[in-house]
Amino acid sequence: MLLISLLETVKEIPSGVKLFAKRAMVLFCTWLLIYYPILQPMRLPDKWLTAITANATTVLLNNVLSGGFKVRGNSASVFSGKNKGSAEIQKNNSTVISIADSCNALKLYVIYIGFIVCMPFGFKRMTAFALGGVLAIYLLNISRCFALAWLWLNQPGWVDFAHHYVFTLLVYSCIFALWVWYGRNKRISHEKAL
Amino acid sequence: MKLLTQQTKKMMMQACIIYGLLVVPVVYALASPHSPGGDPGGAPGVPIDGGISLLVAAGIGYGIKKAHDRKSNKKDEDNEK
Repeated sequence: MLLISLLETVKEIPSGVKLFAKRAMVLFCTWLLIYYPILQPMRLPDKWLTAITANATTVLLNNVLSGGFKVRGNSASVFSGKNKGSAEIQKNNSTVISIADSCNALKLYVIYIGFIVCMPFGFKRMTAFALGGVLAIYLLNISRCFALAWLWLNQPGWVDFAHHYVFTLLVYSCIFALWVWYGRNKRISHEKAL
Repeated sequence: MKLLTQQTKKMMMQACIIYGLLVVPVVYALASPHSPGGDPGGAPGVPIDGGISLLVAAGIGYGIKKAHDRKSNKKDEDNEK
């Protein structure tokens, strides 16, 4: 009885919502099946993404603050039975910040693009927002790492709060704002995409 | 009043199904342990994926709203015709 009621309710969910949910589920399952068992142990594309994030942050630190910052290492280490990598930004052989694979914003890129794929608004708009958004997230992440390094050098007491709440909330808000901008005044053209 | 109650029940059930299908597995998967980076007591690691489930939930919620709005707009247009 409950199953019949459940099936009837599922039938009554609007088709657009169902299509969005189906796409999200397919993307999510694909991500689970490809990233965690295959890509993450090989650090693909984590190693590369961590390296370019660390290098760009170092360039920014050297240009804005006094020079002498350099990247050391980007090798995998074992954590909770899994290979995890990190690159350290050092000054005078002392680590300023450590950029681990979880800091390279890969999941944010995937979630951001995943949403855009689930809500197609035409190829041009999708491509423009996907590329522009990825670039924006990349720049935001570098700025965040730079700001955390500056805080670590000048106001170390603020690092935890800024890192856990302020910068994370800021980056997430920007991503959500991009989604809202993407969805504004445009109809979802699922039919076009199909 | 009875109709309203039934509609509310249906809406709540739909919301629960969508929530169960999308948000719960996402949150479960993203809650797996990960290296925070950084040295214990030393320089900080800077992970950006803490609380990412909130972003996912917000995205799903917004996506469903937009998809639902589209249907409403289409209905309005059909009525105008």
